[in-house]
Amino acid sequence: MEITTRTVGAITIVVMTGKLDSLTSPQAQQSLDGVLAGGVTKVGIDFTAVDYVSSAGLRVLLSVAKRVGAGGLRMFGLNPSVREVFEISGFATILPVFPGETEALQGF
Amino acid sequence: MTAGFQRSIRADLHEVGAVATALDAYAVAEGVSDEVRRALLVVLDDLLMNVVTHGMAGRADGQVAIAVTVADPWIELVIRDDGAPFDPLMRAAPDVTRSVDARGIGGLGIHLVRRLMDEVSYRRVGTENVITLRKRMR
Repeated sequence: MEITTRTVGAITIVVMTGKLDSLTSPQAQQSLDGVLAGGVTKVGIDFTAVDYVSSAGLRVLLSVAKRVGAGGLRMFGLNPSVREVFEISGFATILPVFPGETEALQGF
Repeated sequence: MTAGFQRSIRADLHEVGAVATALDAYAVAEGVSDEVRRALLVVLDDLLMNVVTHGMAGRADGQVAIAVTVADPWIELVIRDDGAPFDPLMRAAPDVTRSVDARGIGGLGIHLVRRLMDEVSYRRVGTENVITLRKRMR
C-alpha cells in the first residue's frame, strides 16, 4: 500500500495504491490519522488504484468518517469489486461515494 | 482432486499478507477474472484474520492451511486450522443500515464472506476447524 496526499483548496486528497486489507490497514490508519491531526476537515480518498478492500479496510474508513463526519469525507474511483464491498456492507448508502474526482470535488 | 494452490502458514499477520500475495499471483496465472480474484482475496483476509485474532489467541504454534482449487465453473477455497472449535459463520449479521455514528464494525467480515461467496460451510474435523467456500467463476 502506497499513500500520497495532495491538497486542492481546503480539501486534502489521499491517493491509495494497492490493497486495503488487514496487513495494510494499520499503515493506512496511521496516514489518515496524520492527515486529520493537521486539522483537515474535508478529505477525499482516491480509490482508482486500489485493487480490493476487506473489512479491515472498511474499519479504517469508518473511523475517518466518524472523525470528520459523513459530510467531511468523499470517496471516488472505486472499481466494481470495491464498490460491491461498499454496497454489501452498507457503506455506499451511509458514506458519499462519487464516480471520479471531478464529481467528488463539486460542491465539497 | 489436487488443490492447485496450497500453503501452510503460522497464524501470524505477516504470514497472512504473504499468503494473500501468493494467492493473488496464482489467481492471475490461472486466468481467474478480477471480480472473482478480488472476492477471494477479501474473503481470505477476513477469514484468516478471524483465525489469527479469535481462534489462535495466545498461541504461537497455531497452523493454518489454505488450499484453492479451480474446477470450472467453480473455484473452491478451503481453510483449516487446529485452533479451538470456532464456527465464524455463526456470527449474527450486522445491521448494515445504521448511520456512521451509530455504526460498529463487528461481524462485517463474515457478512462479506457470506455475500461474496456462493456457498460457505463449516465443519469440525478431529482437531481442526474446516471452512469451505465456493464461488462460481462465470
